[in-house]
Amino acid sequence: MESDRLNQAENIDEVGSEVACHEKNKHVAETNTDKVAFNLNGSDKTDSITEPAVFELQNLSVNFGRPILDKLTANVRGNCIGLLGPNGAGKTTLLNTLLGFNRPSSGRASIFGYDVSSQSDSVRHMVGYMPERDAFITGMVGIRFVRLMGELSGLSSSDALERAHEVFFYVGLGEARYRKIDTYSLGMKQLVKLAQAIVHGPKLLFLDEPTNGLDPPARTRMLQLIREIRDAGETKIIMASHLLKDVEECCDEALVLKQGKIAIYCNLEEERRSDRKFLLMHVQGDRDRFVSALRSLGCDVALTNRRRLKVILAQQIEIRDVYMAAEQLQVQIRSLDYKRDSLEDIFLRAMEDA
Amino acid sequence: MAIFQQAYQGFHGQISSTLRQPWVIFRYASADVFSSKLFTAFFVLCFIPPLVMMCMIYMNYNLEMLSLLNLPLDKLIIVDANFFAHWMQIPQMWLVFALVMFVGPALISPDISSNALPLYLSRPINKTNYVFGKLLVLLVLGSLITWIPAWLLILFHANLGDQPWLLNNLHIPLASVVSSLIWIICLSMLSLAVSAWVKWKALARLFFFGFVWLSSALGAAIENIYGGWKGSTVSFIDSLDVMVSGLYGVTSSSSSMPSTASYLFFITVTVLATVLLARKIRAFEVNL
Repeated sequence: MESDRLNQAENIDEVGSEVACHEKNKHVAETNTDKVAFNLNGSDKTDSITEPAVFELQNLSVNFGRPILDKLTANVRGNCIGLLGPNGAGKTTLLNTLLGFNRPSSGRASIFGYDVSSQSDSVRHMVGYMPERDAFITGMVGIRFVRLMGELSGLSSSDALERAHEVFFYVGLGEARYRKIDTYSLGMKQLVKLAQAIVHGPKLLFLDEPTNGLDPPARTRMLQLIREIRDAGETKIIMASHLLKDVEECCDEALVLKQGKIAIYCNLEEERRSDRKFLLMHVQGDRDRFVSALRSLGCDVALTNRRRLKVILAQQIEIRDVYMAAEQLQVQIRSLDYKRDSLEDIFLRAMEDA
Repeated sequence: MAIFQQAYQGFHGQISSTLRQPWVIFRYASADVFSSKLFTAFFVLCFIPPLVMMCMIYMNYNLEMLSLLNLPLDKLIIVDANFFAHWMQIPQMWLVFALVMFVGPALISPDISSNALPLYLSRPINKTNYVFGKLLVLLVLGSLITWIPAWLLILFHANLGDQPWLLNNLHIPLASVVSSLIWIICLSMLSLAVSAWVKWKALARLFFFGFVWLSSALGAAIENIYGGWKGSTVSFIDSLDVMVSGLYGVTSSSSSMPSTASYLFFITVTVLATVLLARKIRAFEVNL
């Protein structure tokens, strides 16, 4: 199954930029210059352009003896931004740098226009952070823990208590709020981490692997909560994950990192809206003539292996025309499937390209 | 938002100043400290010596009671700098040591061992405020059993005794505050540093205890071998006695070390502990 998926990704590469064909929404890293300049020129983005970027990186480098982030330049907008990359790509380091935990070796990073190094106080008033690892205070009751975090974020004691109750019910732990956090299950601990991150109603929420270790129902619940927070429109989200499916389900933009550099940045929302699909066909018969016929109809065709074809239909062409061409050439279509260029395909391609 | 409306909403209320954050940490940490019945009992017991002294001062000026108890009618005790330094200050200082040993390691090590520091430091609170909030717990508790009761005793005595006594002995309340704060801050920073590096509370307590007593044992050994007061420069016991005696203007019973050497000792320990603490209080460890 894994090999099929990889094979599929390789096949997509064969189709190349024609299958990808979402260059107007996607911004590929110019790896030779180590710089990425993002220009979100989608029509629906013109309003958001006037808002400050969710985060902006200018030649940002972070070194811990060796370079972890290497001259990143980006101007990222969007409601929910996914940070993707293989292990060691620099996702968590980028999050930590944006949170002000790491000092950049060179360059600068800003959140909503505030420099994360020199204006860290302003930044920290605006953000909520859900770390990847277990993070709580041993021996503390759930509600007291979240209330403490609320007060530390600047809420008054009574506001913090009220909000702590609200977020506990919101994440679905209302009944467990007077239990010690040590006694919570892994899924409950993840939800408490989310609760403490949103107790003060942050403008920007950092989620580091929010579905780590969750079983399928808990994962579904967590993703639903993230989508609800996103859709409420008061909080922007930056979500680091190695699970492409999670990012695909929640995020409208994705920033893919590889070896400390930006491999690709794409607008998933545009991808979904364009609903770009291709046909994957198994054929038997005179394949070459069939391919020529399809190309003469204006379709883009890629040969994936002996029998499989990938076809992007021209605008005026329908599947019926494909069947007619096959009938005329006496080619058998053994199977025909609609596929979409998934985030996984984009990710795998970026990993190979970068 | 009512709790039954389980839809996400941001917070639109008032946000307070960042100056309040150490107070929040202090409040929660204090509540945790007093959740232990053992500690609460110990803390209450710490007020018994000052109460006993208050009774002695009272009896000292109550001739009727002295005659009733068949005690000598001339002064039962002499209430002077020596009384406050050696009967009140130094014993209470060692109670502070016990208090810091009990409370200090429980302040930071649980935050580090359960990875809570990123949660603190991602909020509008910096390392200094975090440490200050924790230090405040020890500072307040230590003050409550050292210089605050000492001041009450001084005022009590000044009220009962001859009126110019306080004016003639203004250095006593000052010595009480300064020596208490130096001792409390030094021990607190040391215990916080130990608790930051040794994540297990019990072990951190043992380390703290060992550090204070072994340094004193080392000091005694050096003194035995080389003579003079050189050994006292690494001894908590001697340095405390010298510092308190120096500030109160009385003779130290344990060492001939000059007072400046004792200040230098406490400053060095505090600075080293602060450096160690600063290296450990961070949102995450960098593993290369």
